Amino acid sequence: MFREDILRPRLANGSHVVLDIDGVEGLPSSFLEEVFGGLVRAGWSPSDLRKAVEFHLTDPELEAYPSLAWRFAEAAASLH
Amino acid sequence: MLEARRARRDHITKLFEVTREDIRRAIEAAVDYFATQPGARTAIQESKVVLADRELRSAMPVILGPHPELDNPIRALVSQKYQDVLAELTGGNFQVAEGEIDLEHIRRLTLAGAGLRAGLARMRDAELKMLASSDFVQRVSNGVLVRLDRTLGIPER
Repeated sequence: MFREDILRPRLANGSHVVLDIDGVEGLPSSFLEEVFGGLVRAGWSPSDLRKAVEFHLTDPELEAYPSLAWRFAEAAASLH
Repeated sequence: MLEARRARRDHITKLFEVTREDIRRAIEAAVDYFATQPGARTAIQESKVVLADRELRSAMPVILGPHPELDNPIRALVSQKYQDVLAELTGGNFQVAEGEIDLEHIRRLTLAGAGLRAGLARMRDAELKMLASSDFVQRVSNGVLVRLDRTLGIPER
């Protein structure tokens, strides 16, 4: 799984992760929630996540995704 | 000039109406998908939701593009409603193979769709009002110019 196998190990060793999402057909909200909400539920704060993870995109159709990801992180934090 | 203004009004009206219709279809497709038991959902149902999501993502940046003449609160409202729809359209138990129908998610989805459609109607009205107002200013300034021309153009006897 993307969160557990790819993202979390890199974040755990202090890497700054750039997610290049150009070229994707789309990112389902259920996926974004699992990744970013899931990381918050696993102990990350939204502000630390914002510092550690950066989105890279040039396609205007994908512009909504970063704010959606942070929205899910904040929502998870408010319930956590 | 008159033709150009009419074309601009028609363009704004059509742009917003087409997008509002896209949203209606997107919500219908998503409700059909989410109202089906997760294990019984078909690839066609899922494809319709994915396509609707994509259409919305391509239409909304055009709508939310630079409109310096437009009130920022309306654009901010529509942008927020757009995020709400995106969050729900492929959220909840999308692409989940097991579980139950989530009626609360369907409620949030339809509410988000209605909110975005209403927000777009407000934004369209604001744009048309702004256009009509600039037409009025243009007409008034033309009138002033004509009057000045007449005043200045009449030779004194």
